[in-house]
Amino acid sequence: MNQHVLQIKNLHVSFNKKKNKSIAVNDVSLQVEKGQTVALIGESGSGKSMTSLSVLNLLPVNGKAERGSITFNGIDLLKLTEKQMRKIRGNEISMIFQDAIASLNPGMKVGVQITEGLKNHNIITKNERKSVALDLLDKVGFKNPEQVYHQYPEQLSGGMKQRILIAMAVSCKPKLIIADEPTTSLDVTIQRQVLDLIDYYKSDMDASVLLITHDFGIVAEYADWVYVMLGGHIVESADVYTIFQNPVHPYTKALIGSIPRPEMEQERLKSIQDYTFEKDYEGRQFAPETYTYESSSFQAPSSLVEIEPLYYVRFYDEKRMVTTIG
Amino acid sequence: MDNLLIKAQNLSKYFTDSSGVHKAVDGVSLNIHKGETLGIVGESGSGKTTLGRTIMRLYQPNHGQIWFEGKEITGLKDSKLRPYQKDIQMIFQNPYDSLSPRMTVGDILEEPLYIQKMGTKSERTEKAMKMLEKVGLPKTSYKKRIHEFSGGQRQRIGIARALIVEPKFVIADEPVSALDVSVQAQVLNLLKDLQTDMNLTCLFISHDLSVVHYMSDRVAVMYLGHLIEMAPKEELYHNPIHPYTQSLLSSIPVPDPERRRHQKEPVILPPKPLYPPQLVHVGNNHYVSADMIQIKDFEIENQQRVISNNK
Repeated sequence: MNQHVLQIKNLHVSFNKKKNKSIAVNDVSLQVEKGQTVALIGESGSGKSMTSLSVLNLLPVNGKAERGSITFNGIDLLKLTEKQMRKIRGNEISMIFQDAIASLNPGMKVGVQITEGLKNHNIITKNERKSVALDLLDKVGFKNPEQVYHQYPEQLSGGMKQRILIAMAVSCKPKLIIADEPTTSLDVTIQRQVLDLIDYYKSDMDASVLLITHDFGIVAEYADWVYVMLGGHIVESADVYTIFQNPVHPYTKALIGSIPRPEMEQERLKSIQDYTFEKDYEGRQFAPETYTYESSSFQAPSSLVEIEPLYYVRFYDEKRMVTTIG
Repeated sequence: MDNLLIKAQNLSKYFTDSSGVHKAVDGVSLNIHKGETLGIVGESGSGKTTLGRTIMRLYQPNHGQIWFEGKEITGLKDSKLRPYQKDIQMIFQNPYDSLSPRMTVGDILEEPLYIQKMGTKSERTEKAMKMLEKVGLPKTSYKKRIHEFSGGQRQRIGIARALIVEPKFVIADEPVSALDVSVQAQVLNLLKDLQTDMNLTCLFISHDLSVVHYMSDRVAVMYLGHLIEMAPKEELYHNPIHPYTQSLLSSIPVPDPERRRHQKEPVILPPKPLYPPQLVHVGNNHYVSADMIQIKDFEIENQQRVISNNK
């Protein structure tokens, strides 16, 4: 079991506000094994992005990973200094963000942006860097790498920009790629190309992927293991087959039940009954305390339970608890 | 056919800027019958939103004609168009942008009634209250403002505003794409209920093929300003003919790991000079933008693909 690339244990992330403190990530534990694609799925405000940002110590300034540990190949990332962290970022763990337009520098040519990462991490000459960059552009599917190398991001379409980001993310051959909603702003055909590309790199470099998404369709196609997040907690965790065949937590059931599916007869979509988000005093939204789905109501709950080996559910109904872990 | 509600013939809308003319909608013809929902799918830039807005006469078309209940509305001036605007309403994508933050929900709902000179003030208030109940919002919402609501609730208000004048035809332009999945399901269910309830005819525009399938009776696929395929939904989803439609359908991620595709087909994007924009009938109410020779070619390609996949 020493194959964990990434192990997060009991992570708490909180945000300091003027008057109070709000908790975005509450007691989250997860692990990514070598060669796996692990999906972290949840709706807006569930804390999935904050979990992934804390891995690379990229939380917003008022956010803090308070308790817990994040271990990457035996190194506790939370104890690293900024200087040590820089050696990890890009080199060992790289990140693909949702918004390709915001992640690229509009004033720098594509080639410069790709080779910049190589310059910081590997010591090779300028010509070598260029040939590596051209090679990467070719691999992410550009038919004219030399031309793209000299273009500015604004001259490229959304899907092309996202592919540039992938080229940058894999340029230093990282062991872990964190993809935070990598295809949310893209069309379906482009989405598939981008996800296939990430999948290809994962197998090609023997790396692992932590995929943050809200789309169960993407999870079913690409993930090996799934964590479902709700209101800062992980409420269910299992391998991808189990979670689709036999979801236990009503929130997971509700998420799967609310997807429109052309391949089967659906009279009506199942949905969580309408709820209002609770707001903190700054007007930001957080997930509510109580949900209602079909006839059961449940709360964003307390402890994670192993109902069968390696299958965890955070129960809303204490009677059904079997064993409580850690 | 006398149950035809909307007929568009050879509709085109061009936009001009410094780099030239952009044909956002180019020669689109379609019929929408009373009580049916026609879904329009297409990727960004395919012209689906422009088509919806042109049919509604928010844009003046460059070519072509539009009929509503047999009367041509293509060239009507604003004042002559007003009675039709009561019958044709639109639900927009982003209720954050399309609803005024300064008005109370009551004012937002009553404004279209006021513009159409429907009822007295107290009758309008009563109607607004009824509409709130219909879309599942509490009566206390009447005095609140938009910022006090969540995304799903705001879209409910957007729906209430569109439906309060009791339109015959509703254009829903990506009404759920800004919402979370669980909220999306609520809004889709609500829309479907109201549609049956109020006997609405609907043009449902979305980039999401699964959502369009759930909402529509017939589906039309748009690509670069043209309609390239149109058929009843089961026919289109089970028997797509055009290679682009097939690419679109095979790109939908299926939420079932058992059906994970190990062999991924390449994505086909047809180049800009498309087949003639006329749709050809191939049976089962199924129309494709191609001539018969090309359709034969598509069929042969499909068979080859099936054979190579089975090998």
